[in-house]
Amino acid sequence: MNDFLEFTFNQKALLAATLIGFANGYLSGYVVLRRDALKIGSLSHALLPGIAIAVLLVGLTAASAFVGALIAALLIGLGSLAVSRSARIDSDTALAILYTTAFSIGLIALNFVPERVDIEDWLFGNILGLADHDLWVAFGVSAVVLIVLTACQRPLLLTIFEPNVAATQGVPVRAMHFLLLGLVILALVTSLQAVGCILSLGLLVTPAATIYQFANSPRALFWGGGLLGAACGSLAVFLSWLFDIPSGSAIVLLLGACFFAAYIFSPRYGMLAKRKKPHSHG
Amino acid sequence: MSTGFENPFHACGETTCVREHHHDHALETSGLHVHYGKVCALEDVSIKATCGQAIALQGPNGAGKSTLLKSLAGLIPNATGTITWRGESPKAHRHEIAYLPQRESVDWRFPITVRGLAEMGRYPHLGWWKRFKKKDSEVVDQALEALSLTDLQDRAIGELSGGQQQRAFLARALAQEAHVLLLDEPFTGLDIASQESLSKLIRQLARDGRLLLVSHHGDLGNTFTHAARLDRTLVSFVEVS
Repeated sequence: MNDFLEFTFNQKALLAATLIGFANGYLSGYVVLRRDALKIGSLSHALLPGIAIAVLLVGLTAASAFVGALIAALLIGLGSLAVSRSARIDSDTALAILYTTAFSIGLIALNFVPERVDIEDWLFGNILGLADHDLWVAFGVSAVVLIVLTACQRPLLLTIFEPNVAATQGVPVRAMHFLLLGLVILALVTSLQAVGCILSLGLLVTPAATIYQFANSPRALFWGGGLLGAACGSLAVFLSWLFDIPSGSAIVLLLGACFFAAYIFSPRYGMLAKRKKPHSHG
Repeated sequence: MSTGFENPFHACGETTCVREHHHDHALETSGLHVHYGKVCALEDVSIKATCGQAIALQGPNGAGKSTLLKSLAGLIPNATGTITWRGESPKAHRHEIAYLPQRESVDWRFPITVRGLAEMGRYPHLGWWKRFKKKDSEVVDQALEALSLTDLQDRAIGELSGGQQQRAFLARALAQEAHVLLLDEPFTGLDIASQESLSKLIRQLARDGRLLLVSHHGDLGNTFTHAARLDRTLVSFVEVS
């Protein structure tokens, strides 16, 4: 462990993985509750062309990457709605077509980026290559995500659980949906550095899905997801150094392993518990 | 499931103070029209309902029962005409009106316990940030007790029977200290015993001084005090018992 911490890039990677893991894990509670993991997956792929084109136009900065990603995500999200309304296909089909098309555009656009960035860094992340300002961005994004989610927890929960009832209580339901979308995009852009756009969905879904196997309270999903994301993120960075494996994959693999362990062994909702005691209504 | 609702309201009546004071409070619509595109869902509905009434909204599918409930709840922005509660816009007294959606629209896998659900009833009083105080916990305790849910308060809502689930949502309405309860098809999917329990409960809530509007397909039985028949417009509004 001392050897591991001797290297500055390892220290930075550890800190970033903990921060990004916590913020994404906390947010994953909302993604799991909304049951739109696949839509978020589509969005994560849609970020690539947005970022690539923004980098082509104004160069690579945290702000350009975010604005590019935001525009791409909005175009893909709203575009899928528009296509599904005007064609004979549903919005999921439209989303699948749009995001794979956008992803292809992104891959081609990356070929023209003058600052030569390895395509693998965008696809699978490179947490060991983080600079100081990347760490500050990770810290800032984590803080914003956590503060906003905590401050708006009640209206967001009501909106997700019963949008109609939320509306009767004066909650700005549409604004809450957009707020959550904005936070998801913010988290995705940040996690791109750690795990890349293909695996970022894992960080935004698996932590809370794992806690969901035990908990019956949204707050447990949020905090439990955050802690699990941070723990798996930091442990995976260490393991990736120890076994010389890609860190992004290690983070998502470790989270996946936790999920399957919970899925099988959870004392209340696990497969083994269900086999012992068939589910019954009280 | 428990079917005993013989005297479940002693605590909640005191909490909400509805028992003595609000029988003169009225929910009124005047010339209510709702169109979905070119389809007319409600036409010129004028009705006056007061606390203490349990009103069955009856009529064929597409008659506008759910639309009327949603309009009263403020969920249909393009509704025209006027809706008043206690002489003012219902928006002025949001926490006094509780809307319980149809069972199919509820996500029963949502990880929330019965108590957690009832606590949501305090949100309109607490706003976005105010912390739960002792009084809020007491109101939730009383709501759960009133609906015989104290023993089930730590159970996830998805693990309850249909009747218990309806009671859990009613507990939220009581915790909200709602005076008007708008129930959309609450009897659907319930077994006979649960239907009878819910029936008694509706009657008792009305006796307790609340106003209940309930979209309902079956027989009126002795559940309701009034029946309103809708067929896009209000066909009749009569006292039934």
